[in-house]
Amino acid sequence: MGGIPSVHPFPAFLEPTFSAEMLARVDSTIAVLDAAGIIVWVNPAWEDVERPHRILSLVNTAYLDGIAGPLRAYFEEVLTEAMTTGEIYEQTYDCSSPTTIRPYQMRVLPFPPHGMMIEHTPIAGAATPAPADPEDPSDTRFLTPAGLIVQCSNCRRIRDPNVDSERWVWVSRWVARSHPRTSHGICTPCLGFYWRRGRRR
Amino acid sequence: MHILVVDDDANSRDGLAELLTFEGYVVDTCADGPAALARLGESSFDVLLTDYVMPEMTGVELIDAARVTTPTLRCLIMSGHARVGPADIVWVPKPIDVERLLLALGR
Repeated sequence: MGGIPSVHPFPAFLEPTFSAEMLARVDSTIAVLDAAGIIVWVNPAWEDVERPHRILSLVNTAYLDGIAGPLRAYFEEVLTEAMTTGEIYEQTYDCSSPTTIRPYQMRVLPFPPHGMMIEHTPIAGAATPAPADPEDPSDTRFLTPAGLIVQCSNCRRIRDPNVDSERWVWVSRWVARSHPRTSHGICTPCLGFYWRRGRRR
Repeated sequence: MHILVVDDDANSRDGLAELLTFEGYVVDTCADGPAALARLGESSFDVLLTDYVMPEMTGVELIDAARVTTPTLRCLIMSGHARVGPADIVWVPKPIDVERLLLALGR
């Protein structure tokens, strides 16, 4: 990582816990928002992603303007709650391709009443080849010890029983039609979005 | 209203318990049918809300066994498969529509 340091002044409310030099060295893409949700500083990693892809919000724009559809309302609630409670929000998600699973962690670190820091971090060492879709319906790779396949009833991903941590993967043949031995659950991101939204204490 | 939530998936089980508690219900949970039958024998419940596909015992089998000792127990079954169970069991399709579930519980 490296890139060109941000020309915008580093927010004073992050000091001394963080410094521009410290945040310039990390793999995480980091955006710092003021209390109104306006981006006031980003680290070089954020700029390195935004510059060629034009997919992230820029300094002096509203962070939520970069989020479309129903997710905008969800993250508006997340950010508001973080600022109100002072509690860190965390979630893991994947930004994967058909061949590679890449887990990421998103964290919102609030610094009320001044603002917050949002970081997206690739989970170190967690990128793995995606499992090939089973051609044989009796393929047992995705069966739990109880002989069931656990599938998120919302996003249709399959829980990978071969890892200790929670990981959900796409198995395309079971998206439209579930395996007969499927127990329908809910993955953590869907749980937060579909069930917990609007019901946070 | 005292509800027993039974689901082998921890996210579903704990998420429903959290949601229903937030809505004012008293909730207990179990991860499978045998544990649920034991729990039903320990306390009085108004509603059994159970998943369908589970290890050891399906939700329908659980309801059939529960009704032997508690014939008045109100039963709802959750499933991502096609409608399951006898007609007198309320079917809650997965993915669960929270508002629809709350209406079924009589909010």
